Amino acid sequence: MKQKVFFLLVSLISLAAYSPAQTVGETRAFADSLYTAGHLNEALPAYQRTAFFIRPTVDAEVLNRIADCFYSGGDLEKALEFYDHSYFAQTNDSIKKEVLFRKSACYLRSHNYNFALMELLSLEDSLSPGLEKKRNFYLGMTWFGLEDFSKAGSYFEKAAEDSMSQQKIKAIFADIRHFYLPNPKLASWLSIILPGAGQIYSGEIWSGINSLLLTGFFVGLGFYIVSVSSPVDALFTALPWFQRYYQGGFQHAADFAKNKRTENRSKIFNEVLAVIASTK
Amino acid sequence: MKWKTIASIFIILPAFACNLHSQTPDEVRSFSKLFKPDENKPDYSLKIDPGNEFKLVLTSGFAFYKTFVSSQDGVKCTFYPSCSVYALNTIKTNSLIGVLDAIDRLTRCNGISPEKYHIHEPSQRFYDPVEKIRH
Repeated sequence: MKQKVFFLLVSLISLAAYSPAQTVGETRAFADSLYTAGHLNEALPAYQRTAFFIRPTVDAEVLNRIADCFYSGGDLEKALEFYDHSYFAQTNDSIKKEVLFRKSACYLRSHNYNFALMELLSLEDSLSPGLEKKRNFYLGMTWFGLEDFSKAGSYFEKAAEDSMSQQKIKAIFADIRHFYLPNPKLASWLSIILPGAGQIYSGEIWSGINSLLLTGFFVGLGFYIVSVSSPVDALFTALPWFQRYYQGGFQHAADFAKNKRTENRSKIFNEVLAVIASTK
Repeated sequence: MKWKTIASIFIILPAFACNLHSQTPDEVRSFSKLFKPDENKPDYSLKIDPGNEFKLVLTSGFAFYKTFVSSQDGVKCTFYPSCSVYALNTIKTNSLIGVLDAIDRLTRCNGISPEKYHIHEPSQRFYDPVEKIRH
Protein backbone atom coordinates (compact mmCIF):
# COMPACT_ATOMS: atom_id res chain seq x y z
CA MET A 1 0.00 0.00 0.00
CA LYS A 2 2.82 2.38 0.98
CA GLN A 3 4.54 1.60 -2.29
CA LYS A 4 1.38 2.51 -4.22
CA VAL A 5 1.05 5.87 -2.45
CA PHE A 6 4.74 6.59 -2.99
CA PHE A 7 4.43 5.69 -6.69
CA LEU A 8 1.34 7.87 -7.08
CA LEU A 9 3.02 10.86 -5.41
CA VAL A 10 6.19 10.58 -7.50
CA SER A 11 4.24 10.28 -10.75
CA LEU A 12 1.96 13.22 -9.86
CA ILE A 13 4.89 15.49 -8.95
CA SER A 14 6.82 14.58 -12.08
CA LEU A 15 3.71 15.08 -14.21
CA ALA A 16 3.08 18.49 -12.68
CA ALA A 17 6.71 19.51 -13.19
CA TYR A 18 6.70 18.63 -16.87
CA SER A 19 3.13 19.48 -17.83
CA PRO A 20 3.42 22.56 -20.06
CA ALA A 21 1.57 25.79 -19.24
CA GLN A 22 0.63 28.07 -22.13
CA THR A 23 3.59 29.55 -23.96
CA VAL A 24 4.20 33.25 -24.54
CA GLY A 25 3.12 32.77 -28.15
CA GLU A 26 -0.18 31.22 -27.08
CA THR A 27 -0.82 34.01 -24.57
CA ARG A 28 -0.09 36.58 -27.28
CA ALA A 29 -2.42 34.82 -29.73
CA PHE A 30 -5.14 34.73 -27.06
CA ALA A 31 -4.65 38.45 -26.35
CA ASP A 32 -4.74 39.23 -30.07
CA SER A 33 -8.00 37.31 -30.51
CA LEU A 34 -9.60 39.24 -27.61
CA TYR A 35 -8.27 42.54 -28.97
CA THR A 36 -9.60 41.84 -32.46
CA ALA A 37 -12.99 40.88 -31.03
CA GLY A 38 -13.10 44.26 -29.25
CA HIS A 39 -12.77 42.86 -25.70
CA LEU A 40 -10.00 45.26 -24.77
CA ASN A 41 -10.50 45.06 -21.01
CA GLU A 42 -10.03 41.28 -21.11
CA ALA A 43 -7.12 41.53 -23.56
CA LEU A 44 -5.16 43.84 -21.24
CA PRO A 45 -4.01 41.24 -18.64
CA ALA A 46 -3.04 38.82 -21.42
CA TYR A 47 -0.91 41.50 -23.12
CA GLN A 48 0.62 42.50 -19.80
CA ARG A 49 1.49 38.83 -19.18
CA THR A 50 3.06 38.62 -22.65
CA ALA A 51 5.05 41.80 -22.04
CA PHE A 52 6.23 40.46 -18.67
CA PHE A 53 7.62 37.25 -20.14
CA ILE A 54 9.31 38.80 -23.19
CA ARG A 55 10.82 41.80 -21.40
CA PRO A 56 13.17 43.65 -21.90
CA THR A 57 12.58 43.27 -25.64
CA VAL A 58 8.84 44.00 -25.74
CA ASP A 59 7.86 44.82 -29.31
CA ALA A 60 6.17 48.10 -30.18
CA GLU A 61 2.92 46.43 -31.23
CA VAL A 62 2.37 44.85 -27.79
CA LEU A 63 3.10 48.19 -26.12
CA ASN A 64 0.74 49.93 -28.50
CA ARG A 65 -2.03 47.46 -27.81
CA ILE A 66 -1.54 47.71 -24.04
CA ALA A 67 -1.86 51.49 -24.45
CA ASP A 68 -5.02 51.02 -26.55
CA CYS A 69 -6.51 48.83 -23.82
CA PHE A 70 -5.78 51.46 -21.15
CA TYR A 71 -7.15 54.18 -23.45
CA SER A 72 -10.39 52.32 -24.01
CA GLY A 73 -10.71 51.65 -20.27
CA GLY A 74 -10.30 55.38 -19.57
CA ASP A 75 -6.93 55.12 -17.78
CA LEU A 76 -5.37 57.94 -19.79
CA GLU A 77 -2.25 58.32 -17.67
CA LYS A 78 -1.26 54.66 -18.19
CA ALA A 79 -2.24 54.87 -21.86
CA LEU A 80 0.10 57.84 -22.31
CA GLU A 81 2.92 55.98 -20.59
CA PHE A 82 2.59 53.01 -22.93
CA TYR A 83 2.11 55.13 -26.07
CA ASP A 84 5.37 56.82 -25.13
CA HIS A 85 7.15 53.43 -24.83
CA SER A 86 5.55 52.31 -28.07
CA TYR A 87 6.64 55.48 -29.89
CA PHE A 88 10.29 54.96 -28.99
CA ALA A 89 10.20 51.21 -29.73
CA GLN A 90 8.51 51.77 -33.10
CA THR A 91 10.55 51.75 -36.30
CA ASN A 92 7.71 52.34 -38.76
CA ASP A 93 7.28 56.07 -39.40
CA SER A 94 3.58 56.01 -40.30
CA ILE A 95 2.74 54.04 -37.13
CA LYS A 96 4.81 56.53 -35.13
CA LYS A 97 2.59 59.32 -36.47
CA GLU A 98 -0.51 57.34 -35.51
CA VAL A 99 0.90 56.93 -31.98
CA LEU A 100 1.40 60.70 -31.79
CA PHE A 101 -2.26 61.19 -32.68
CA ARG A 102 -3.27 58.74 -29.96
CA LYS A 103 -1.11 60.62 -27.46
CA SER A 104 -2.77 63.89 -28.42
CA ALA A 105 -6.18 62.23 -28.05
CA CYS A 106 -5.19 61.23 -24.50
CA TYR A 107 -4.15 64.80 -23.70
CA LEU A 108 -7.34 66.17 -25.24
CA ARG A 109 -9.52 63.83 -23.21
CA SER A 110 -7.69 64.80 -20.02
CA HIS A 111 -8.10 68.50 -21.01
CA ASN A 112 -4.34 69.10 -21.24
CA TYR A 113 -4.70 71.08 -24.45
CA ASN A 114 -1.20 72.60 -24.40
CA PHE A 115 0.39 69.14 -24.27
CA ALA A 116 -1.88 67.99 -27.11
CA LEU A 117 -0.72 71.00 -29.11
CA MET A 118 2.92 70.11 -28.46
CA GLU A 119 2.37 66.57 -29.75
CA LEU A 120 0.56 67.78 -32.86
CA LEU A 121 3.22 70.38 -33.63
CA SER A 122 5.91 67.72 -33.34
CA LEU A 123 4.47 66.03 -36.44
CA GLU A 124 6.42 66.81 -39.59
CA ASP A 125 5.09 69.64 -41.82
CA SER A 126 4.54 67.64 -44.98
CA LEU A 127 1.99 64.93 -44.33
CA SER A 128 -0.17 62.91 -46.70
CA PRO A 129 -3.54 64.61 -47.43
CA GLY A 130 -5.39 62.16 -45.16
CA LEU A 131 -3.04 62.71 -42.23
CA GLU A 132 -3.08 66.45 -42.87
CA LYS A 133 -6.88 66.47 -42.49
CA LYS A 134 -6.58 64.43 -39.31
CA ARG A 135 -4.01 66.85 -37.90
CA ASN A 136 -6.30 69.78 -38.76
CA PHE A 137 -9.18 68.05 -36.98
CA TYR A 138 -7.08 67.47 -33.87
CA LEU A 139 -5.71 71.02 -33.98
CA GLY A 140 -9.27 72.29 -34.28
CA MET A 141 -10.24 70.43 -31.09
CA THR A 142 -7.10 71.65 -29.33
CA TRP A 143 -7.72 75.33 -30.15
CA PHE A 144 -11.38 74.87 -29.23
CA GLY A 145 -10.24 73.61 -25.81
CA LEU A 146 -7.83 76.55 -25.54
CA GLU A 147 -10.79 78.86 -26.28
CA ASP A 148 -9.26 80.32 -29.46
CA PHE A 149 -12.39 79.79 -31.52
CA SER A 150 -11.33 81.61 -34.68
CA LYS A 151 -8.27 79.34 -34.97
CA ALA A 152 -10.40 76.29 -34.11
CA GLY A 153 -12.86 77.25 -36.87
CA SER A 154 -10.18 77.58 -39.51
CA TYR A 155 -8.67 74.18 -38.63
CA PHE A 156 -12.08 72.48 -38.57
CA GLU A 157 -12.76 74.04 -41.97
CA LYS A 158 -9.55 72.54 -43.32
CA ALA A 159 -10.47 69.16 -41.79
CA ALA A 160 -13.81 69.01 -43.66
CA GLU A 161 -13.79 66.99 -46.85
CA ASP A 162 -15.95 69.02 -49.26
CA SER A 163 -16.73 72.66 -49.89
CA MET A 164 -20.31 72.36 -48.65
CA SER A 165 -19.16 71.13 -45.22
CA GLN A 166 -16.53 73.81 -45.17
CA GLN A 167 -19.25 76.42 -45.76
CA LYS A 168 -21.31 74.95 -42.91
CA ILE A 169 -18.36 75.11 -40.53
CA LYS A 170 -17.57 78.64 -41.67
CA ALA A 171 -21.17 79.63 -40.87
CA ILE A 172 -20.92 78.08 -37.38
CA PHE A 173 -17.76 80.03 -36.60
CA ALA A 174 -18.83 83.24 -38.41
CA ASP A 175 -19.77 84.99 -35.18
CA ILE A 176 -17.64 83.76 -32.30
CA ARG A 177 -19.24 86.10 -29.75
CA HIS A 178 -21.87 83.50 -28.86
CA PHE A 179 -19.09 81.14 -27.70
CA TYR A 180 -18.56 83.47 -24.75
CA LEU A 181 -22.22 83.68 -23.69
CA PRO A 182 -23.59 83.75 -21.05
CA ASN A 183 -20.80 85.72 -19.45
CA PRO A 184 -20.07 84.50 -15.85
CA LYS A 185 -18.69 87.89 -14.78
CA LEU A 186 -21.76 89.68 -16.06
CA ALA A 187 -24.00 87.11 -14.32
CA SER A 188 -22.12 87.66 -11.09
CA TRP A 189 -22.39 91.48 -11.35
CA LEU A 190 -26.09 91.27 -12.19
CA SER A 191 -26.67 89.27 -9.01
CA ILE A 192 -24.58 91.73 -7.00
CA ILE A 193 -26.79 94.58 -8.24
CA LEU A 194 -30.09 92.69 -7.97
CA PRO A 195 -30.08 89.27 -6.24
CA GLY A 196 -31.38 86.59 -8.63
CA ALA A 197 -30.85 88.63 -11.81
CA GLY A 198 -27.64 86.76 -12.70
CA GLN A 199 -29.36 83.39 -12.31
CA ILE A 200 -32.24 84.52 -14.53
CA TYR A 201 -29.72 85.81 -17.11
CA SER A 202 -28.04 82.35 -17.04
CA GLY A 203 -31.37 80.63 -17.67
CA GLU A 204 -32.01 79.42 -14.11
CA ILE A 205 -35.26 81.31 -13.60
CA TRP A 206 -36.56 79.45 -10.52
CA SER A 207 -33.24 79.72 -8.76
CA GLY A 208 -33.22 83.46 -9.53
CA ILE A 209 -36.70 83.96 -8.07
CA ASN A 210 -35.70 81.83 -5.05
CA SER A 211 -32.60 83.97 -4.47
CA LEU A 212 -34.57 87.20 -4.78
CA LEU A 213 -37.21 86.03 -2.27
CA LEU A 214 -34.67 84.68 0.22
CA THR A 215 -32.44 87.75 0.26
CA GLY A 216 -35.55 89.96 0.17
CA PHE A 217 -36.82 88.16 3.27
CA PHE A 218 -33.62 88.90 5.20
CA VAL A 219 -33.66 92.55 4.05
CA GLY A 220 -37.26 92.78 5.29
CA LEU A 221 -36.30 91.08 8.53
CA GLY A 222 -33.46 93.57 8.97
CA PHE A 223 -35.78 96.56 8.53
CA TYR A 224 -38.31 95.00 10.90
CA ILE A 225 -35.64 94.54 13.59
CA VAL A 226 -34.49 98.13 13.07
CA SER A 227 -38.06 99.34 13.54
CA VAL A 228 -38.85 97.28 16.64
CA SER A 229 -35.39 97.23 18.21
CA SER A 230 -32.20 98.92 16.97
CA PRO A 231 -29.87 98.95 13.93
CA VAL A 232 -27.20 97.21 16.05
CA ASP A 233 -29.57 94.30 16.64
CA ALA A 234 -30.27 94.08 12.91
CA LEU A 235 -26.53 94.15 12.24
CA PHE A 236 -25.98 91.11 14.47
CA THR A 237 -29.08 89.11 13.56
CA ALA A 238 -30.30 89.65 10.00
CA LEU A 239 -27.11 90.86 8.28
CA PRO A 240 -25.04 87.63 8.63
CA TRP A 241 -27.91 85.61 7.09
CA PHE A 242 -28.42 88.16 4.36
CA GLN A 243 -24.66 88.20 3.58
CA ARG A 244 -24.57 84.39 3.41
CA TYR A 245 -27.33 84.03 0.82
CA TYR A 246 -26.46 87.21 -1.07
CA GLN A 247 -22.87 86.00 -1.52
CA GLY A 248 -24.05 82.45 -2.33
CA GLY A 249 -26.41 83.95 -4.91
CA PHE A 250 -23.79 85.74 -6.98
CA GLN A 251 -21.38 82.80 -6.70
CA HIS A 252 -24.13 80.51 -7.99
CA ALA A 253 -24.97 82.95 -10.79
CA ALA A 254 -21.37 82.78 -12.06
CA ASP A 255 -21.37 78.96 -11.77
CA PHE A 256 -24.67 78.68 -13.66
CA ALA A 257 -23.34 80.94 -16.40
CA LYS A 258 -20.12 78.92 -16.71
CA ASN A 259 -22.12 75.71 -16.91
CA LYS A 260 -24.52 77.12 -19.48
CA ARG A 261 -21.62 78.44 -21.56
CA THR A 262 -19.92 75.02 -21.48
CA GLU A 263 -23.23 73.44 -22.52
CA ASN A 264 -23.55 75.86 -25.46
CA ARG A 265 -19.99 75.20 -26.55
CA SER A 266 -20.52 71.47 -26.30
CA LYS A 267 -23.61 71.77 -28.55
CA ILE A 268 -21.69 73.79 -31.14
CA PHE A 269 -18.78 71.36 -31.00
CA ASN A 270 -21.14 68.45 -31.61
CA GLU A 271 -22.61 70.30 -34.61
CA VAL A 272 -19.09 70.60 -36.01
CA LEU A 273 -18.42 66.91 -35.36
CA ALA A 274 -21.67 65.98 -37.13
CA VAL A 275 -20.64 68.02 -40.18
CA ILE A 276 -17.17 66.48 -40.30
CA ALA A 277 -18.43 62.93 -39.69
CA SER A 278 -21.13 63.24 -42.36
CA THR A 279 -18.59 63.95 -45.07
CA LYS A 280 -16.62 60.76 -44.41
CA MET B 1 -2.47 51.95 -73.81
CA LYS B 2 0.48 53.00 -71.74
CA TRP B 3 -0.69 56.58 -71.19
CA LYS B 4 -4.16 55.35 -70.22
CA THR B 5 -2.66 53.10 -67.49
CA ILE B 6 -0.44 55.92 -66.22
CA ALA B 7 -3.35 58.36 -66.24
CA SER B 8 -5.60 55.98 -64.26
CA ILE B 9 -2.83 55.37 -61.72
CA PHE B 10 -2.42 59.11 -61.27
CA ILE B 11 -6.17 59.54 -60.80
CA ILE B 12 -6.68 56.58 -58.45
CA LEU B 13 -3.63 57.06 -56.22
CA PRO B 14 -4.34 60.60 -54.95
CA ALA B 15 -7.97 59.66 -54.34
CA PHE B 16 -6.82 56.66 -52.29
CA ALA B 17 -4.20 58.70 -50.47
CA CYS B 18 -6.83 61.26 -49.44
CA ASN B 19 -8.67 58.71 -47.35
CA LEU B 20 -5.60 56.92 -46.07
CA HIS B 21 -5.20 57.46 -42.33
CA SER B 22 -7.81 60.22 -42.34
CA GLN B 23 -10.05 60.27 -39.25
CA THR B 24 -13.01 57.90 -39.51
CA PRO B 25 -16.60 58.98 -38.64
CA ASP B 26 -16.47 56.77 -35.54
CA GLU B 27 -13.24 58.42 -34.45
CA VAL B 28 -14.80 61.85 -34.98
CA ARG B 29 -17.93 60.89 -33.01
CA SER B 30 -15.84 59.40 -30.19
CA PHE B 31 -14.95 62.98 -29.19
CA SER B 32 -18.59 64.01 -28.76
CA LYS B 33 -18.30 64.23 -24.94
CA LEU B 34 -15.02 66.15 -24.98
CA PHE B 35 -16.50 69.50 -23.97
CA LYS B 36 -19.54 68.24 -22.08
CA PRO B 37 -20.17 70.10 -18.80
CA ASP B 38 -19.48 68.40 -15.50
CA GLU B 39 -22.38 66.14 -14.48
CA ASN B 40 -21.58 66.39 -10.75
CA LYS B 41 -24.27 68.93 -9.98
CA PRO B 42 -25.47 68.89 -6.38
CA ASP B 43 -28.87 67.26 -6.06
CA TYR B 44 -31.08 69.39 -3.84
CA SER B 45 -34.21 67.33 -4.34
CA LEU B 46 -34.59 64.97 -1.43
CA LYS B 47 -37.30 62.38 -1.06
CA ILE B 48 -39.84 62.89 1.68
CA ASP B 49 -40.21 59.76 3.80
CA PRO B 50 -43.85 59.23 4.89
CA GLY B 51 -42.85 56.21 7.07
CA ASN B 52 -44.30 57.77 10.26
CA GLU B 53 -45.30 61.26 11.42
CA PHE B 54 -41.90 61.98 12.99
CA LYS B 55 -40.00 61.06 9.83
CA LEU B 56 -42.55 62.88 7.63
CA VAL B 57 -42.17 66.18 9.51
CA LEU B 58 -38.38 65.97 9.67
CA THR B 59 -37.80 64.88 6.08
CA SER B 60 -40.28 67.48 4.75
CA GLY B 61 -38.47 70.17 6.75
CA PHE B 62 -35.12 69.09 5.40
CA ALA B 63 -36.44 68.80 1.85
CA PHE B 64 -37.77 72.37 2.10
CA TYR B 65 -34.46 73.58 3.54
CA LYS B 66 -32.40 71.81 0.83
CA THR B 67 -34.62 72.99 -2.02
CA PHE B 68 -35.22 76.62 -1.12
CA VAL B 69 -32.52 77.66 1.36
CA SER B 70 -29.42 75.47 1.09
CA SER B 71 -29.48 75.64 -2.72
CA GLN B 72 -28.84 79.39 -2.44
CA ASP B 73 -25.90 79.02 -0.11
CA GLY B 74 -22.26 78.81 -1.18
CA VAL B 75 -20.14 75.77 -0.23
CA LYS B 76 -19.91 76.27 3.52
CA CYS B 77 -20.02 72.76 5.01
CA THR B 78 -16.64 71.08 5.49
CA PHE B 79 -18.07 67.57 5.08
CA TYR B 80 -19.32 65.31 2.36
CA PRO B 81 -22.25 64.54 2.59
CA SER B 82 -23.20 67.96 3.95
CA CYS B 83 -24.60 68.27 7.47
CA SER B 84 -28.24 68.55 6.34
CA VAL B 85 -28.01 65.46 4.12
CA TYR B 86 -26.17 63.65 6.91
CA ALA B 87 -28.86 64.64 9.42
CA LEU B 88 -31.61 63.46 7.12
CA ASN B 89 -29.93 60.13 6.48
CA THR B 90 -28.93 59.48 10.07
CA ILE B 91 -32.50 60.13 11.26
CA LYS B 92 -33.71 57.70 8.58
CA THR B 93 -31.14 55.10 9.68
CA ASN B 94 -30.97 55.60 13.45
CA SER B 95 -34.36 57.22 14.26
CA LEU B 96 -34.24 59.25 17.54
CA ILE B 97 -30.55 58.49 18.19
CA GLY B 98 -30.03 59.98 14.72
CA VAL B 99 -31.13 63.39 16.05
CA LEU B 100 -28.26 63.28 18.58
CA ASP B 101 -25.92 62.06 15.85
CA ALA B 102 -26.96 65.01 13.66
CA ILE B 103 -26.26 67.45 16.53
CA ASP B 104 -22.88 65.78 17.06
CA ARG B 105 -22.12 66.25 13.35
CA LEU B 106 -22.99 69.96 13.53
CA THR B 107 -20.57 70.41 16.42
CA ARG B 108 -17.83 68.76 14.35
CA CYS B 109 -18.46 70.93 11.28
CA ASN B 110 -15.51 73.28 11.76
CA GLY B 111 -12.52 71.80 9.93
CA ILE B 112 -10.20 71.84 12.95
CA SER B 113 -9.54 68.07 12.97
CA PRO B 114 -8.56 67.25 9.38
CA GLU B 115 -6.44 64.27 10.48
CA LYS B 116 -9.56 62.34 11.47
CA TYR B 117 -11.13 62.21 8.00
CA HIS B 118 -10.33 61.07 4.49
CA ILE B 119 -10.80 63.52 1.66
CA HIS B 120 -13.73 62.93 -0.69
CA GLU B 121 -11.98 63.49 -4.03
CA PRO B 122 -14.79 64.86 -6.26
CA SER B 123 -15.93 67.46 -3.71
CA GLN B 124 -12.53 67.94 -1.97
CA ARG B 125 -14.26 67.87 1.43
CA PHE B 126 -13.92 65.63 4.49
CA TYR B 127 -15.65 62.32 3.97
CA ASP B 128 -17.96 61.41 6.83
CA PRO B 129 -20.77 59.04 5.78
CA VAL B 130 -23.69 57.94 7.93
CA GLU B 131 -23.14 54.72 9.87
CA LYS B 132 -25.57 52.53 11.75
CA ILE B 133 -25.15 53.31 15.44
CA ARG B 134 -24.98 50.24 17.69
CA HIS B 135 -26.42 50.78 21.12
